[in-house]
Amino acid sequence: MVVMHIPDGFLDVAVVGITYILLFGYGGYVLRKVRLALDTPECISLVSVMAASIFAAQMLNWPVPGGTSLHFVGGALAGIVLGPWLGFLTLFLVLLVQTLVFHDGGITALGANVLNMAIIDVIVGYLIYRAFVKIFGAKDSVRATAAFLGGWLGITLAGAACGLEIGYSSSFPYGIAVTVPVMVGWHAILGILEGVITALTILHLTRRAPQLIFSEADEMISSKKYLTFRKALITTLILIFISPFFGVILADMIGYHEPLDIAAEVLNLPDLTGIINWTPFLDYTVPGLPAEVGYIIAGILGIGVILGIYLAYTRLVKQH
Amino acid sequence: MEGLAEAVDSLSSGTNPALFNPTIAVISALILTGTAAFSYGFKLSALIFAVSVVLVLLTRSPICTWAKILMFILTWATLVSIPVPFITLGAPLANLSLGSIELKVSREGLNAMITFISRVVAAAAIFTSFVSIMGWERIVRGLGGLQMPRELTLLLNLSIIHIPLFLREASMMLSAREARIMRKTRFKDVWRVLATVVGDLLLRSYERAWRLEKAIRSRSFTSTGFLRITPPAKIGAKDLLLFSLTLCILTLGVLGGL
Repeated sequence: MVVMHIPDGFLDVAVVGITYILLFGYGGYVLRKVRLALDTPECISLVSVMAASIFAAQMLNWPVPGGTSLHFVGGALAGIVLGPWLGFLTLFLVLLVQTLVFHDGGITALGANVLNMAIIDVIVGYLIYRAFVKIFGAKDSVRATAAFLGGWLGITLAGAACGLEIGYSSSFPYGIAVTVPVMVGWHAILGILEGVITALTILHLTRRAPQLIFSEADEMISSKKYLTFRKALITTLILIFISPFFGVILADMIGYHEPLDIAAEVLNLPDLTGIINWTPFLDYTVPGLPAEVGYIIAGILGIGVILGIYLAYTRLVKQH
Repeated sequence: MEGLAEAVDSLSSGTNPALFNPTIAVISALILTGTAAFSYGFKLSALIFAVSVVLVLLTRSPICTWAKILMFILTWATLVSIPVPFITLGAPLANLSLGSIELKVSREGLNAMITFISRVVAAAAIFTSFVSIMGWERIVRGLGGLQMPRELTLLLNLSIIHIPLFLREASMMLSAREARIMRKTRFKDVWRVLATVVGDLLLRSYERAWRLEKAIRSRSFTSTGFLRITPPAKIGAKDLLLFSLTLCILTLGVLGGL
């Protein structure tokens, strides 16, 4: 997972500018949210000391078959244990120390590294863990599954973001057609190990001191609302996982084409896909991955976006 | 882990911390690193690399540590850019045959590879030279001079102070637990031990944070108001020289289209 620290010279001015704007924007928002708490000795001591311990934990070598070893990132772990805001601050500190003291990650790439590891990884880990525990209850099997998924998906999405950043950068020799599949594929594999490490650590923590896990702070409400939501979620996930059978395998067998595509071919219209395409997920595929896997990932992303909009809307309505 | 802890301790003061005003040094480091990172020409990167070498030599900083970081960056950048000469279209420079596969090395591709590597290495070289000269304490002080939020500089200072403590603790915990595995170690056993070390490091951090909070409160400090306001360091001739050199290099880069 150490490949995620982008060095100086990999990103151009535009990508650096965008990622730094995101860093300042999100960092400013988080600081405003926790400013009052941050002015207290409890918060200052917790965040700074936790950052040091995560730094030390990142230095541990996890041996893998083949005689090599890897290091874990700990973004999802920080999000689960500390929550999204303090988790961000902690990982941000870790990355700042790594950049300033050890030059592990470039100064110009700090915005991108923070976006990948302190924002995306932390938020994804926190949201997945919290959602699972809230819906399915705080049992060891649920915690392990949620922590594994949070760790795996957090790293994979962070790797995808890294691939997009370096791919869109004119300073890097390769475009997104190479960087995205390489980074997503590589981190999807490494993410399995990150997920296992996150799950093992969360299980150990919940046995020693479950009250310290921020993501389990609220009481678990098992009401009809959550049971219905759970059924709907399980049904949706099952549909997503069987969708490639219809959308890819059966469609290829019968030679299915979109009606508008057939109409365009008959009318001899030019295919502008290559020119106007802006997304790496064209036709519900992920570059470099089999069509069936890309179909499932596209489904998960789509459902995630819709759920996110729904949750944001319900929160806004509740506030007003 | 022990070596890393010692490296952090040794980097706290740097070899010549009082040489430059910390704020001027940080500004110069950031400008020069940015100029190197965004350069597209070999000459500018080479110039910035030469400046970093001169700084390290003149200040008698430990060259071995500095060189080790650069070797790692050089290896990484080279590995990443190896395919570039073969996939970039252009005037062929050489042909390589690997069995039935014919590979063409293009001049443009080779230039792109060299420019990429020089850019990455120069940026790393100049920033790490400043860190080894100033030490992280002065770097953080310099960031404070750039109006970085007080809470962040305090958090940074406290984190870096605690890093060697946790590195040593992790090392001791790992040794003690591995010694208790009284059978042939398998990946499963090692991973379980490592997970408990990570978990206990987090638990120990709560305990240390609690102690730190008590230490802060016992000194009657209740907020970041206890931060010592250090008087700004004076700006001397060396600082003006360094800043002028930085601006000259930046101007050269901008005029030359970087």
